[in-house]
Amino acid sequence: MSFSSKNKKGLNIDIIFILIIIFIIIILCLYFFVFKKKNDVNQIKSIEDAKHSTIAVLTGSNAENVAHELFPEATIQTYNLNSDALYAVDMGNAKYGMALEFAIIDYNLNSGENRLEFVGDALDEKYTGIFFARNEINKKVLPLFNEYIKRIKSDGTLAEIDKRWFNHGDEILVFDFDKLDNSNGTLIYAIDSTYPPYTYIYNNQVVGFDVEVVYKFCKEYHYGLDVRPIDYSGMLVGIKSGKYDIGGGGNAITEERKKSVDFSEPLRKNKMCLFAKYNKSDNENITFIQKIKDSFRKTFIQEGRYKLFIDGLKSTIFMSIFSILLGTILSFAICLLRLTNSNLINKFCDIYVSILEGVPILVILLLFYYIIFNSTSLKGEYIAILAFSLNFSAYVSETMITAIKAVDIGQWEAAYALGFGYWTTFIKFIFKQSLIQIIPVYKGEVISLIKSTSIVGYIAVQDLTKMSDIVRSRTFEPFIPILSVALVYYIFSFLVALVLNRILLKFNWINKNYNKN
Amino acid sequence: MIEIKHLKKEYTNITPLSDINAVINKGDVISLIGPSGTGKSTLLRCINRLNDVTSGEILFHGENIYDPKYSIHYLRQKIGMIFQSFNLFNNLNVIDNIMVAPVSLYKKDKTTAYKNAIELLDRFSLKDKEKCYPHELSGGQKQRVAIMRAIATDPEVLLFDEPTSALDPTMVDEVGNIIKDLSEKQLTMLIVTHELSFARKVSNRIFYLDEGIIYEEGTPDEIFNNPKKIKTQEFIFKSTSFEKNINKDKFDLYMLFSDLAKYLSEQGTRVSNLYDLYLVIEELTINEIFKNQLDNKDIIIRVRVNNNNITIIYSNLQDFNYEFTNTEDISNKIINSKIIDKTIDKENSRIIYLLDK
Repeated sequence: MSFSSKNKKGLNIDIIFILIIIFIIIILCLYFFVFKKKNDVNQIKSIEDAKHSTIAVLTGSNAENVAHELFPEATIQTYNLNSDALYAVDMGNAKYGMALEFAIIDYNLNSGENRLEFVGDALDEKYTGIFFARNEINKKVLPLFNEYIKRIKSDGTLAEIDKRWFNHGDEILVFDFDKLDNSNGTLIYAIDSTYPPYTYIYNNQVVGFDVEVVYKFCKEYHYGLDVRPIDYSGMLVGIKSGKYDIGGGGNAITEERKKSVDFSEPLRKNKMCLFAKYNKSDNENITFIQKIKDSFRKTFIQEGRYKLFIDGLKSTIFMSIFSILLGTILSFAICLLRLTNSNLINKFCDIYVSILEGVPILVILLLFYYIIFNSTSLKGEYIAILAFSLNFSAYVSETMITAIKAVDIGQWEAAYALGFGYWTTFIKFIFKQSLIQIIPVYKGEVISLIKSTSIVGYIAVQDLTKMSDIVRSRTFEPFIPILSVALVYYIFSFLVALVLNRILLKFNWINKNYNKN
Repeated sequence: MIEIKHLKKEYTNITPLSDINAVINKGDVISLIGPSGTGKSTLLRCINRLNDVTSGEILFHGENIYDPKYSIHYLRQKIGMIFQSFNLFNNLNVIDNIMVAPVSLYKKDKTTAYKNAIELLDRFSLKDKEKCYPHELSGGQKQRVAIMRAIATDPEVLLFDEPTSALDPTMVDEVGNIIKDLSEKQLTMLIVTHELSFARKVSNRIFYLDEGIIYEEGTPDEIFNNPKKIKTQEFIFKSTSFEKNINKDKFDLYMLFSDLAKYLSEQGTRVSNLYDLYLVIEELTINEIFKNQLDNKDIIIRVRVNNNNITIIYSNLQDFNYEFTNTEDISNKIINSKIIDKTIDKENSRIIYLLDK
């Protein structure tokens, strides 16, 4: 049996074996990270060539629209992070990419060398603004905001702000949102935390060009701010549904978007450019170790980014533990309901289980966040816990009921014949015996739950995965963040599995032998 | 002590018990016998309310246990039950299996309960198995623990639901001895069993159940040796005799003997001179029956050991010379010296021999 008792020595050998395998995987990943694909130096790059090539863009961005318009025959690859789109071109996964001019400059600055180059002139030029949801509060706020923009444009404040964020090397401003005077109400401000320098996270703080504008507006007009960092596509949906009052920054003002959301007065002008991998690398002679060191420093040390990972891990652990607890209680409750053998209740449980098993957990999560709990101010974390526990309970309750029903009916009868009642029999004998069947499956479900919490970035929860996205969007280096997050998930799951194995041993009478000698 | 009045148990398509009436006295050891499906176990389970009844009542110390006000807790403390498949709690070790009901249900002090349990283990010579789990025990040991678990709550009545069917034949005696031992302590016991020799040995009364009622009741002697009613007679004879098909063309004498010996040992029947019995069967079968059989169809041979004699029946003799032409003197001599009676039943195409024991 899989849960056979291990002696201490056996367990240690297992752990050593696992560590060796992990080590090998890491080394292999790093190897491919350094010796990545090299582009053919003699490739011709032109706008004409891009028409029949692949183009990497950010999902739902203006770049995607422009790419479809100008290059209808090209293969468009969409990425959830702007930095991933840039990186894809750098790695040779896509020959061309399309992004805003400053992002490409930023990428090259961060890499310390010219990795990407512009192809041709700017393809498109758009004014950017801030999204405003079409809700009650904005009827008052939007005119005030526009009035404010006009004023700071004319008195040079905006130019000053622009200089601060778009000229690299200046000191970063940090804002204290809690100290805002909220006598006129509080605005919910959703930002894409992976979109520097418009809106991003620095030293564990929300910062950026648009953030400063919004912050200064609120300070002057006495509004409080509730800032919610969220996935770009999640932000769009939330603004459209009116869940958030204002959103983002650096959003291109397009006619199509105007159909569903309002825009503030334009703040900046952005150039959309086609780019490709730079033919010759400047720094071919950087050593392997140096590269790893540098990447490690950027990912964890610079700007105190390790704090982001710790916060993300806290959030992931918080959600996992409470989802497991609540989910277990729920599954037990469903199980007890099922044991009543009432037809009506069983029908109800069947429907409950079939819906939750049949709909992907991500869809359930979005459904809860944007539709069912749209009007409430419930935090994303709690909604995630609810969605995950419901999903978990559907699977685990089925396992539980099967295991309980598999316990020999004679055990019930023997207990009844001794005088035990229904509940005591169930708890003392039946459930305890069924645990031997339940726990191995339960363990699998727990681990799968821990892993599936990585999707909560969609509903504005900053978990471990989301934090790695944020860091990647700043460092443009995916390997170290992804690898370390993978390792952390594995260690967390491993520890949880270890605890459950211990519990199983306690209930596993099959392995309990009493030998006098 | 227990009085059963017009007990009726109906399911949607069958009625296993239609009208049961009985009086059970303190110290009685009663075996319930009868063909399968006659509601023996159902009756037993009605007595401790594991099954509900359709109508009728069961009085325990004069009070109807089916009265809604009657304490089921008290009833189950006073009436213990032992199951065919033992049903020990798999997640508890032996001592906990015995102690769990007294401690958590009947609020006995833990040290007293432990002392009692140890005494029981000692009495049933299982003291070294105190900390074993049920899966580490043999069938007979499990059944002993199940009995200890049932008597740990100080019951007045014990119900045994086929206590020997899941056991090795050699273990049957072990359970029999325990029941004898318990009956000396004035425990009242009801035993459902298929093993008639076991029933005969341990009980002082026998209930034969058939047609939904207690069809016939009496002492073991009355039921097994002189059943009054026709169905009882048939049942007793059928279930206490050895039966085998034999054929003239492929007859294996030694197979027949070994099967017979196996049957006799399983039944615990002792035949003083087994060799004589074999000799007679050999002569009868080969020199009298096969020689006079005109076809080559299968014949059924039945052997039954009674108190004073042995009955041998050959049936299915359809094309048969009932005049008997036997030429061999020696076999005639053997046969005549042992057989005390011979009945030729042409109507049912069979011959019945009666042997001296």
